[in-house]
Amino acid sequence: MNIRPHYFNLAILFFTGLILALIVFILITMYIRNRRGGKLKKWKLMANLLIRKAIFFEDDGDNNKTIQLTQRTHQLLNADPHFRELLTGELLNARKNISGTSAGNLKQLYLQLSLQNFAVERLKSLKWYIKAQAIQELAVMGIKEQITHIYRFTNHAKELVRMEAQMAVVKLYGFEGLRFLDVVSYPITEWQQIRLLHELSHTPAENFSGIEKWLKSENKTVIVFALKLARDYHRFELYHAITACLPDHDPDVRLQAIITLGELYRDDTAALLISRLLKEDIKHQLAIVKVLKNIAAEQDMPVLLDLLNTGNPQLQLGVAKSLAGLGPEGMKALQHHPLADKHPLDQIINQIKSEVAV
Amino acid sequence: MRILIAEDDDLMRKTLEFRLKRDGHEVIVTQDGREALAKIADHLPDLVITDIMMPYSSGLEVISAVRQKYTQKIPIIILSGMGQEEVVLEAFTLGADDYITKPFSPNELSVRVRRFAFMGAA
Repeated sequence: MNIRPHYFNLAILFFTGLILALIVFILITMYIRNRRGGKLKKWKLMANLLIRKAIFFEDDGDNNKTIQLTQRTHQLLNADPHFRELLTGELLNARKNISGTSAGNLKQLYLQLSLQNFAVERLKSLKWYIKAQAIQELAVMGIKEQITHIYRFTNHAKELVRMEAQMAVVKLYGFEGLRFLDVVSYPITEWQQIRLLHELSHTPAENFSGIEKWLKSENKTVIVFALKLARDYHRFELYHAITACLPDHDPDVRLQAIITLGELYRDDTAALLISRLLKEDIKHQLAIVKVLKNIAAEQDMPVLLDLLNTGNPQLQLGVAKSLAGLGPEGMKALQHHPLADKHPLDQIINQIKSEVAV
Repeated sequence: MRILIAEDDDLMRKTLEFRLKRDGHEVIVTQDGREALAKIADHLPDLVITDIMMPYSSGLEVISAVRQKYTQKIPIIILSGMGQEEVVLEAFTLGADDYITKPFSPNELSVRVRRFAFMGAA
């Protein structure tokens, strides 16, 4: 093939131009990146210095709790939302790690910089993640004044907004914050329940009210959570309200009621659970026998021996363990059961014996 | 007192450094477990303050390595997050001497460090 030199030269020119354009583009991008990187580094340094100043701030005794700020900080804060974002992020990070007087100083700095106003503005955002972030920010900084804004979001349609708002009210008001359970109509996920209980574990336990009402909630997840609260805070006075949840049509409520009764039990709890056993599915039956292992007494022995006749090996294992848990008498009764030398009970008994030996 | 800090969070590291220097201690700062172990070998500090969650080598690995490598007792204070009880127990099993839960007060840290300084001098 014969290529004309004219076209060849044009092609060389075109590709050389293209390469040069690419090099210029890369250089410009690198320059912008470096500049931005340098700026960010400088801002981070400024933010850190400011935060350290706040952490170690000591008022002069005349109740003058104002942290001295430079004009430049104010200017940057008002002019550059990126700087504000960076400073807020650093402040939040510091607040999560610092407690005591220094934490109070960090809050003072946050308020002095009017950062809460920007957070309140972000609560109005149509983007759910910005809303959720703002809620979290106000909670971490302990801005109780915004509780009315935050409380409204505890039953928000968007799950993450709702979760952050529920966490925030508990963080800010402890057990009192749980009043959102009166109105929440959306389900409270298992994960959210764990988070809430964890947050409450940092609050001094007090005889808070409301559980009885929540045990009768229309929202089944609220009942489950209330049962967990009753269990964790040993609310024995709610025994009857808890047993009233045993026949609930929601399987999660029934399961949690069984588990809770494993902690808050009386003399007649084992008999009550045994009476429920044959009405339940296998998952709940296993939960009941697990509880029975700890709470059954000698008077329950005949019923437990009867339950060994059920055909399910898992259930038989659970019941056998409950019997063994009653001591030598229970073990003896287990070994004298008519099915004791038949499969699978023979193996179950051997397993229990080896466990006892260990 | 010569104190080595192992903390990956910039702000926390600088805050600790500032506070301890203000209390009159000589402070060596490191950003991760690996750097901490190298600097412990170089400087033989009188006290180590280490975060648990760090890149390369965790605080637990630092404690374990220090206890295995050095015959002299270097006190170690760990910085742990809330709800890390199991990690704290593991740290004590490995040989940590004290722990501070985040969020913590710099004043509290200062008092705890002073206690070790006093014990070292006694």
